[in-house]
Amino acid sequence: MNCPFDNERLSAYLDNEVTETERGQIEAHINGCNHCRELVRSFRQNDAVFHKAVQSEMPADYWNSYQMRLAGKLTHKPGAFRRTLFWSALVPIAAGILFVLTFYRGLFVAPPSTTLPASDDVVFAEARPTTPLSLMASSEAVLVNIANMDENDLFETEILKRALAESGLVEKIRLTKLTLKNKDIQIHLGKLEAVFIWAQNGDSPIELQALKEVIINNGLIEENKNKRHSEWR
Amino acid sequence: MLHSAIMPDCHPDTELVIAFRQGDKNAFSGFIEKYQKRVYHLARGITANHHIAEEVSQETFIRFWKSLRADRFDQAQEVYPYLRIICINLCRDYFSAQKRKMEHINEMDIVAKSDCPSQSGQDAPQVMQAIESLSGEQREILTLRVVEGLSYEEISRHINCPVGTVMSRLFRARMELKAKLGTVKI
Repeated sequence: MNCPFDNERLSAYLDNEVTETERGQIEAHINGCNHCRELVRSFRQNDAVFHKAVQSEMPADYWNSYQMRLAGKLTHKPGAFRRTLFWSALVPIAAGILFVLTFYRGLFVAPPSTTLPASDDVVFAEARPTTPLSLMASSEAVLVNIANMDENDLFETEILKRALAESGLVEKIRLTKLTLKNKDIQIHLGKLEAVFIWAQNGDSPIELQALKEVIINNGLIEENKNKRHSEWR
Repeated sequence: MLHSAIMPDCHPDTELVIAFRQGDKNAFSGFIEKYQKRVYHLARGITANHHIAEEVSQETFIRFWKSLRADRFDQAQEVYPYLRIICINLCRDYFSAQKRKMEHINEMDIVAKSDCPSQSGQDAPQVMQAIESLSGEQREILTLRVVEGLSYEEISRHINCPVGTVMSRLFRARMELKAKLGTVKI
């Protein structure tokens, strides 16, 4: 068949990648050439098939949980494919955060009065039951306040948790959500468990105080080993 | 809204970038919600594999997060083209790393399909098999043109080759797809 156009040009024509002059010439040709017309038609049809197959919509649940899975991946040991410089960049960041929080806010330091922080506040802690706070502050435990946390912060939270773990400052990280509600302080503490206090605006200072006492009573923090602790109480 | 008032000509994503840098913890979620489908479908087109596409797309967001944190992302840039570049490079990295194991992976992929969430409007398995049987390079160029809608010039910048090469590769990919789909009832 002696067609004047290279088939590549027909493909380019389909993509609007030819000049106006060439477009006119091609269209005039394919009107009278079954072979070229059929080739363009099949390209166009196959493009649509490819597009549809690739863009086929996933179930709503898949997208609803996409961000959750992304956060979840950060809590697991990365495989070869995921092993990037990502965490190595986060560790210094986390270490910096911890340093500032440890030395400027102290461990488990609440405001001197019984008033709650102005913004939502989360306290994350892990400690050996018998470890003095002073030692914990230096190397064996961390406690971080993160302002303005909410349930949409999973990504940031998981990144921070992972960074803490990678930093070697924390032995284990375990999340316990403590819901502060009247007469219903849900507490699941044990040795070497992490504590995650989710104190929100409007939570009763009395409840928060009760919660802190329970943490102390569980041996997470030794009493009378730290002056800040007495201030805190 | 505040940022729009300050910088009326800035790209809509600029507000999210600024918010992220100012500590708005929801800003990054905004990026994910806005672009998760596009990034996933881009990866799916290139890899033809749901599981790898999920992996690649999520790694894309992690790297973007890292770029934002490290101030390597210029807030005047559009976000999606940046994500696209990361995603394409990750797909290429993946194929390079797995080159020797491709046959094994393809075998596993067939088994893993049962784990893939059911998709509405899913095409006949033969269509996906035909797409899988293309080379990674062919799927990449078809995806950039057919799914992403990029011009030859834009594709040439992405894959770092002349426009003429883009045209010939795209033509060969289309011919290959035509041959693969030739026996498939669409």
